[in-house]
Amino acid sequence: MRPFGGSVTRFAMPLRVVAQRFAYTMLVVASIAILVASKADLVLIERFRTQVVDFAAPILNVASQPISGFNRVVDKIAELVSLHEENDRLREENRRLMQWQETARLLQRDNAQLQYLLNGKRDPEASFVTGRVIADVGGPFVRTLLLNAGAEDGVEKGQSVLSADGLVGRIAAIGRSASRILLITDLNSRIPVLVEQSGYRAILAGDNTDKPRLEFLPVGAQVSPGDRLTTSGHGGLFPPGRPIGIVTSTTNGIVRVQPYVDWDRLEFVSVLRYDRPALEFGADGL
Amino acid sequence: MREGMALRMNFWLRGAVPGLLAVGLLLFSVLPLGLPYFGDVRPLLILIAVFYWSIFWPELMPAILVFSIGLGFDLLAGGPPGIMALVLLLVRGVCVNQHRPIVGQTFVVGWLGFALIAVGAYLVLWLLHSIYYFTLFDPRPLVGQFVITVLFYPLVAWAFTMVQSWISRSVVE
Repeated sequence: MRPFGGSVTRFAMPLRVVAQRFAYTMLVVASIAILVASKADLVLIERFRTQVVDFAAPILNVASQPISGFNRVVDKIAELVSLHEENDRLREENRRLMQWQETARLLQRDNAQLQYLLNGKRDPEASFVTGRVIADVGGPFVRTLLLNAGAEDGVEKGQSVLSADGLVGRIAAIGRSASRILLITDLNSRIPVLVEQSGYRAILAGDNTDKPRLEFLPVGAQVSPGDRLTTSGHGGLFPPGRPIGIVTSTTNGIVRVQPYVDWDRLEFVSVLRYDRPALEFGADGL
Repeated sequence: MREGMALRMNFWLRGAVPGLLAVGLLLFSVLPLGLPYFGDVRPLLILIAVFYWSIFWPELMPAILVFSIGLGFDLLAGGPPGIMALVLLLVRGVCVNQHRPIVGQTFVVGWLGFALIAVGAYLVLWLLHSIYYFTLFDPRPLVGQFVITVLFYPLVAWAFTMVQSWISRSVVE
């Protein structure tokens, strides 16, 4: 018996090592294969990703709640410390905003009258779904967020995402109960924008830095720091006139924009369900 | 026999802890923390987990688990799927073969070893991402993330040391 047992272990041990080596090599090959397949835009990979995200969404949803609770407590404490200054500042701001409100009321009345006179066409109203950010992988390579609202809540691919401050990004992928937001700072983000003061149109292109670039400005366009940017509504994905950010620098022909959104305090965001104006190919013969 | 089974079960359950911890770290690394300026330079804690266990107890961090954690990170983070899986597998491969200079040495040697491996991992990550997106990424945020990850190593590795001795105790018992 003894020599037999010995030969088995002598034979089995290297076999196990070989099997492990083989498994390891196969996994490396599998990683590379998945990488190549995703580069080739294989639908299977995206579907798999959606399923994994859908599976993880409830876990992330629960796990992210104590963190946001903790952050809220920290915020509250920070607020208590600067309560007096904050109060003074808000009182001052309130005074200023009251004046603005007066101006806005006047303009609104003027606008309504003029629209009526000109028989102007209004933009379609946009409704929205609000969700909570459940995953945030800010990093050197990707700028995306996961939102706890998906196809079940009426979210669709391509819809724009806004925070209270301004445009956050757009929906890049949707699952059943979660969706992925591509931030305006991501390398793959391109958004048609309007320079508010001058009316120039351009494209806001993310490059994974905090300050996306303004590209395709008209030849000879003058843009200076302080200019505000809004969505232009061109391309039909984004409703027009939503605030995006402010031009901060124009060095060496590169125009950088500081988004209004406070990335570190992004908790609740709204997905805009905007029915873009489109031509109907129907009975009217359009 | 029964006692043997119970002992084995005990070891198995304890042996699953490093894997579960790694999955926990994976989830933690994608949660929205809301800390100012932390988003860009969040430590890559799963790299520490894969490094530590591949050096000190590779059986508890099998290749399939490393692959799953890497792929899970890729899918949740929204990056190119397979990149982190590949890099973590490479880290595991190097660590399993080159654990000799680190095992049994002081903590600082392990830390240095990790820094060295992390440099390699980040270089490969940068290279693969640059090829995938066909663009040269700004290396500065990468350096920031590398430094933060290396600074986090002592804390995480210390916790893993505790876990490791807790598992070994079950083996000795």
